[in-house]
Amino acid sequence: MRIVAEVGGQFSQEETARLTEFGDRQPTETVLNPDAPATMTSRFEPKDTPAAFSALDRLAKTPDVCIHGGFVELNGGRSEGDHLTLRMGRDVPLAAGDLDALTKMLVKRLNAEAPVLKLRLDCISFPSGRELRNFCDAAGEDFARVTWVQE
Amino acid sequence: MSSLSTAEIPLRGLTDGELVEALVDPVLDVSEIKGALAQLQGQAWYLYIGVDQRIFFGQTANVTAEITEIAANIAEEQVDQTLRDKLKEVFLPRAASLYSDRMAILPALDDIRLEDDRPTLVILERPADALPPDFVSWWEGQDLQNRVLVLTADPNAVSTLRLIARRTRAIDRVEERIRVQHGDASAQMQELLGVRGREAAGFTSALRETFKTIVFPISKSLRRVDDFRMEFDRNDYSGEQQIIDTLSKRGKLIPNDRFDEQFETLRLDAEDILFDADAVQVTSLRRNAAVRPTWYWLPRNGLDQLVRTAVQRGFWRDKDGLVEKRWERRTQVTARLDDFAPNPLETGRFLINVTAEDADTVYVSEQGPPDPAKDKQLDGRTYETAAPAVWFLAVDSKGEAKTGDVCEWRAPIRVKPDVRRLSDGYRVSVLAVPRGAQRSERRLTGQIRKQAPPSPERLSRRQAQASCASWPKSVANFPRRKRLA
Repeated sequence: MRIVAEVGGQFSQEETARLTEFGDRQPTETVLNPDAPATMTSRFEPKDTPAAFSALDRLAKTPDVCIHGGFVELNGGRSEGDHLTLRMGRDVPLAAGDLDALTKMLVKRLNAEAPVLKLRLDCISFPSGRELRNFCDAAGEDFARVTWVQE
Repeated sequence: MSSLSTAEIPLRGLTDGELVEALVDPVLDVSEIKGALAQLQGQAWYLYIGVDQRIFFGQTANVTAEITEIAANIAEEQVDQTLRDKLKEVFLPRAASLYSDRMAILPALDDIRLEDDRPTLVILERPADALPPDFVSWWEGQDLQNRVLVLTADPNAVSTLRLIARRTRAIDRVEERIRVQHGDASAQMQELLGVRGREAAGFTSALRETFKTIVFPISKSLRRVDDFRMEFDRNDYSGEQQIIDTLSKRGKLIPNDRFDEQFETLRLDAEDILFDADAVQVTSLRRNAAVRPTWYWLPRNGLDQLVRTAVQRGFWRDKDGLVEKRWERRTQVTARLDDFAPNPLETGRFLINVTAEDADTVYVSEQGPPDPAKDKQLDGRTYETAAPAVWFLAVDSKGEAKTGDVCEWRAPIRVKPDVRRLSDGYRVSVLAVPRGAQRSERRLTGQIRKQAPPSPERLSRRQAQASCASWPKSVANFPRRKRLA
């Protein structure tokens, strides 16, 4: 895509945005089946607190989503030790709804005016490829970098 | 103690103490005896000092005799050359801030070559009380009259210097011989070094009485200053510095440390003396500075500094290769994007550096050329805006400069796309500045490059073009019609 801005008959230099069909992925890779269960294997880390809360909320509202590994870190910012952390092992699946409830509880316990949430989810299993795709698009994940497995 | 004893291991001569003991009497100062003995050692041909420091007479002539004999046979030209070399050392320009090392020492008038950019130091063998008419006529016939600095050397004192120079040259020859025959550690060499030391002291002493008058050009004549005295500081004499001090005291030379204090005088005098017209070339100023004796002497590059400072302070103007002392003043204003300001694509605002000349007020408008009656004045020297164009007008409120042209500043138009891949296509975000473009026609056009993948067929024209609902950040989604297998 070639882009030029115009103001009153004056034009900017032309900029080019490269649109590739596969991104970094090879065309030989497996295509996501929208109807089969899918597990997102690339690490998901929202860039800020609002994005993290929004992602948790979306995952909680999607039925049958499980989290496999990661952590939730809440920081009150009032002192060095003003934080709460929940670590999840990869081998202990946690329903997304449960994780959302736990996070909300931690927020309540922290009782900070503006808690900072740092979220990292190592692996997320979705009931279908469609759900995985919707989640990635809504969270602003670059889909070309997302990896998944399907049975 | 006999000097001419023939004993096998004789005790020859007398020590200093024994000589003083024999010569002293109630009315004689002991130091006078020592002074006389030292003088005698410099003149007596057969006097020796033994390794035991006893003074005795030998049967053969000593180095003093050899030096005297050689000195008598040295040609006058060689003596003069030695004297010139020694005086060159004395007046060597260490800072080189006034005259160069191309000095004319004891020259014939025909040999003097003057330089364009700096005075030439001329050392003349002339009586201190009057400049010879032939030199004055020579100077009057010169073009570069303001490039002559004269130091007169008293002829009687110069005769003494010549005598010492002659002996110094002879000492050099004797030293060569002793080094070859006896070596540097020999008693003869020690004796010779003593003689050399005495000659050097004599040269220094004679120098004090040699240079008494310094002459430099003023107006249409040469001015003589008779209070030039050579001052030695621990046997070190910086002739250059003493000349500089004398000329600074007399106001001919303006040293660097007095440049600011004297700037106004220099500028006004330069306008009178150096400028032949209201606008002249720098080379013309340099030429006049060398030719006109009423002009000052400035340290090296001093005239360039004067021009630079006068231009910086707005008294003169440097334009089209000419230095102007008078010109029709017009205000001028320039505006330039601050290269170190935050990125406008991130802030949406431009920081403009505004520079005004011959003006104390700058009016600014984002709607067109400013009207001083209604548009606002710029506060400071920077202006921050999101507008696509800004106009500046510089005004001199005192009325000394006419109001010049309006400066129109146009914002650079920048655009930055950001492509993010979705599961079924792309999200393209476009950032663009200036934000004033909101008032302009807005259109985001996308065109798929003709390269595979994807082929142009995969994205429809409709999908590739999207209207932007908001500016400067516009987002368009381009869905994929069909996945590639």
